[in-house]
Amino acid sequence: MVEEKNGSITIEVEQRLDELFGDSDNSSFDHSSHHPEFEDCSEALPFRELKSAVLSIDWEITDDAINRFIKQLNEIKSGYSKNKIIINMIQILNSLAVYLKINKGRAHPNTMKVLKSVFSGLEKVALSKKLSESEKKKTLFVEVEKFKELKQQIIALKADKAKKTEAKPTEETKSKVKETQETHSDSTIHMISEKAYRSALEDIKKFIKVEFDKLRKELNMHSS
Amino acid sequence: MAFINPKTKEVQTKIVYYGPGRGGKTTNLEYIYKKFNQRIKTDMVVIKTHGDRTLFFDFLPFDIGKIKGYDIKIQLYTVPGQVKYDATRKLVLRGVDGIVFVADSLVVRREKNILSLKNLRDNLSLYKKNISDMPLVLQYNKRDLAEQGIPLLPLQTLEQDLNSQLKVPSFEASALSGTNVAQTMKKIVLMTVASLQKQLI
Ligand SMILES: Nc1nc2c(ncn2[C@@H]2O[C@H](COP(=O)(O)OP(=O)(O)O)[C@@H](O)[C@H]2O)c(=O)[nH]1
Ligand SMILES: [Mg+2]
Repeated sequence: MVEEKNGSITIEVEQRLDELFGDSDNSSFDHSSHHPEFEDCSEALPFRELKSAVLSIDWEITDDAINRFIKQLNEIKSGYSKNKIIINMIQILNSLAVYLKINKGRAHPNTMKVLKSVFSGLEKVALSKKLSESEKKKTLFVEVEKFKELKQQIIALKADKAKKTEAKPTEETKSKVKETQETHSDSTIHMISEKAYRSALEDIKKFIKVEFDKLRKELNMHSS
Repeated sequence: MAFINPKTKEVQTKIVYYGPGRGGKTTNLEYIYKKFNQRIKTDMVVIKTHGDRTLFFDFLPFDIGKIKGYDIKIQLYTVPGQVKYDATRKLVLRGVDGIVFVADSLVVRREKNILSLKNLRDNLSLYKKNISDMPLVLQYNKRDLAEQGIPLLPLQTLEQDLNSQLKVPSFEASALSGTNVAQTMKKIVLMTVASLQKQLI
């Protein structure tokens, strides 16, 4: 496809890219686990199963995926019946799963985020050898707070829906607008300063308007 | 078309990450941003829709510095994957110089990959561009999931489905862990700049 006949520029670009982006990643797959300290113990196995169930739910909220998740939760629960912290976290995960099962795609958009976070907390508490008892309690506390916050958001969302059932904007456009406003709290957006974010947003709005106009014209041309 | 300004000696190239929804396009850009933003000094713009899906597009611009006297600026874009956002996809493809097609390695996503590649062909033809004339790299993403016992498409199948005619460079990758993310990006930048060199010199 790309002729390499004039090699010099290619070599120069390649060098520059290596300088900038190094060989910081490589092509093997045996180190992809995020918690290497959890590996190699049989206790970790049920949690790996649970994680795979979390991932399935993240891709698509199906009854199958949720049932698998709940089943795995129960399995883990039976092994930790005396550990209050773990039991509490499992209960939260269970509530979230049931809520997702009922509401599927209509569930509050933060549900998956909270579920993943509580799962990570559970994994940490159950498998990390270095954690002290008070650190474990703190982890639970943090996750409980997130769960409570989500419950408030769900209640607010319901109230909002009830109030505006026959209102003008559709549910979808409304939630889109809200999401765009909320992006500040999103981890990705934390990466950029508020000012940069605002001006970028303005730029993009303008860009989109101009480009959509062009596109419309172009499409008209094609169809005529 | 790349924007080349002979006066300021600036070249702007547009590279688009394309592929089925939830395949890992945004995660690719996020990884590049998180890992390299100190070095490439840039801001990333992410506009999200319901939950965490890309609404319009993600945008990551950076500069690779002067090459042969030209200041080379790279702009990475992603498109939203869901079918209903086809207008946005068309829009983002406008003026594209190079494409990374991010395929999802999950067995259950096989059909979605194929459809999305077809959609790319169709949308390029709208701009009178042929996919086989385009700098293009394939990325088979989410390979890390094999370790967790999740059924993935064998590489052979992916190659057969997506690359049997195109025969372009392809990478196994995990956007989540970063494996081969920079490699994929470096390859497409290289191919794109190489294809522009005729105009440069
Ligand atoms: N396990 C795993 N998950 C991934 C990988 N890449 C993306 N994901 C997850 O897949 C989901 C969709 O990714 P996203 O980048 O938003 O996809 P996009 O729609 O193509 O932009 C997210 O939950 C990601 O965390 C990967 O390489 N491995
Ligand atoms: Mg995306």
